[in-house]
Amino acid sequence: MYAKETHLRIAAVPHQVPVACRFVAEAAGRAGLDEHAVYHCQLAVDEACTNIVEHAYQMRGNHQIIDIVCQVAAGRFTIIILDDGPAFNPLSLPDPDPTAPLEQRTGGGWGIHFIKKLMDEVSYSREQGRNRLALVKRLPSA
Amino acid sequence: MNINISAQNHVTLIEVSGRIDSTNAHEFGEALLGEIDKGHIQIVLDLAQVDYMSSAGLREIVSALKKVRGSGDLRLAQPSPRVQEVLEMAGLDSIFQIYPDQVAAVGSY
Repeated sequence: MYAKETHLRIAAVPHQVPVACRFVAEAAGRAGLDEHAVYHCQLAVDEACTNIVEHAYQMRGNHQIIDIVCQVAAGRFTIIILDDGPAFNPLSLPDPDPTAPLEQRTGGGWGIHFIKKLMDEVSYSREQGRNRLALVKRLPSA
Repeated sequence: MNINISAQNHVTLIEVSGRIDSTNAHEFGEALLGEIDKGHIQIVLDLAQVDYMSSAGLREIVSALKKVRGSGDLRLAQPSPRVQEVLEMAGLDSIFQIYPDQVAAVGSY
């Protein structure tokens, strides 16, 4: 029987991000998402954790950990990503422009854009001193 | 990730396989820029065997294209469906010249 909630804690360092991706991919597959949706979850978590790692590297003395929780409830697969960095809502950033010509492209900002496109719902909150990003994929109806 | 670089007449063919993410995107970018620095400015990047590319990988190909375009070009061959999807999300499918196979991409120069 698949546990409805699974948890992983990783250090906020680059080589741990693929560990988080594998953990989420396995949970998403067990939850019943198809291969394409599992890939979307994996890519979204990659982008979210990479942003945190790049940000965490600029801080000293913090815990520098990322907690990832996968939940299955009410027909939804939810990935919650928690970090101890300063309050920062990545969803508040302006979306990059996919129609911008090459010379106007600076290279950054696409991670959050991808997360919004890949997931069915995305939300941010600040809870108990931590950043909380929730990513949702709807499960196929039985 | 594996990167194989070869010469096809005057075109440099770069074949990549595996996963390109933030842990190895820098290495991928260095390979692209390394060829450009050697004066190899007619490049085909074959992405058929890349089964995963995050925005970190896209950042590197955009950076390489910006460096080479004007004097040469970086053209893409047969991106896998997953790579094609991220190219489209970032609107890069209209910025890069993309070919359905390696022969067409190399022959386009």
